[in-house]
Amino acid sequence: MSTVLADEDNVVRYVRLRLFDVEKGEVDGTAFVLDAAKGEQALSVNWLEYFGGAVEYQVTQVRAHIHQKMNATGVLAQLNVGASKSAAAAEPGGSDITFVGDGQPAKPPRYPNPDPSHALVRGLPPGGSSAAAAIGDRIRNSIVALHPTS
Amino acid sequence: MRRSAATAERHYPPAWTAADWNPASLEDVLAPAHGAITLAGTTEPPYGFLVGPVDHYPHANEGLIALIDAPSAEAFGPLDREPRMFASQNFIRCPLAKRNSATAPFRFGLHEGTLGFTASTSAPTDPSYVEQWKLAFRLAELQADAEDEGIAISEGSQRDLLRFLGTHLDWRRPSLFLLDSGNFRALWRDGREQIALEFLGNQIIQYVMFRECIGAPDDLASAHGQDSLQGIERLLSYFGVERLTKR
Repeated sequence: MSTVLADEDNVVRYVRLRLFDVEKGEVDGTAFVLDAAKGEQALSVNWLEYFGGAVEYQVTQVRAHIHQKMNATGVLAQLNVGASKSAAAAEPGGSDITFVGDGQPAKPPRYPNPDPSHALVRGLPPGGSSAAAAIGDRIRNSIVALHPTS
Repeated sequence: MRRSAATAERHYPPAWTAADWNPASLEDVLAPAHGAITLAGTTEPPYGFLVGPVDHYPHANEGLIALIDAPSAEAFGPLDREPRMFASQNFIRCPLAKRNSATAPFRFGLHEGTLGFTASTSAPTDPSYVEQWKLAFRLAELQADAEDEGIAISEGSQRDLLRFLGTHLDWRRPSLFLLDSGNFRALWRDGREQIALEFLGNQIIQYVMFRECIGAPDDLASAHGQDSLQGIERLLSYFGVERLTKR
């Protein structure tokens, strides 16, 4: 069953080294752009408040359950739902995006545990255009915090 | 390119010595990999490949980074006619574990040129030189990550990126990213304001620029689209974000 996330909630998205300049501490906005070549329809994120507790605990739980191979050189970028929605809508011709929790069941053998906090960002434009990049950059501007992947 | 004569406090990695970089051994390694490269060993600066002082690059200790100087004129367009430091430099990443193998694969940004170099284990201290090396390490890091992920780097994008940065050596060093498409993207950002340039190859740039609205700083003005390498600078000035590139 899917759950629409509230504006005050937060999500994290795994950003790999290619899109995270460690020395500058910068995340590229294309981390929040759909992959046109793969025909991606929504962006995968993880809902922090699903786990309750403090942010540090929530991030620890995401690391433990996420169905994604994360490298230590990457980073988990935290977004506030409401701020990201406002950012995407603020771009002229921008998008009305929604955040929907859709926890994933276990997928053995690679992922023996469920990923209950998995969520999707829906409503983003297809990637590959400067308009999509501009919306991604706007969302990047709303990053709340960066968390290590391990 | 200026180089510091200062001795490094720390060598990187410690096991490397100048003897590792003697011209004969380097030629042995590189010549089978690419016949178009002519090695012109010199001990004179400013040519160089040098082990940098940067801590943040996990892949840096997997290989060396070399800068090719004086590429052949045929390989370059009008932007490169004038002597420019960075535009005439391209990066080679030579996996350390394979560098003694005659059949080892090497990555070349461009395939023509003369490699002039000097061996050094001294870390640079001149700020602008350090900035160039940080950029070189970031590029090497992106190349390594692309290999790990099986992403083919766009040589056209890399060529345009280096040309562009080479014509703007006085600019602040941008953040660099490598996209799924194999294109490079450079970002100059100050708070919410930014210049982001994706190098599409064929001297075309996709840009996204933000600046605070004059008289309404809570709002962001934005502009995005495509322009040529030559035209983008005028656009930055017109949109009023040129200052983001200043050191």
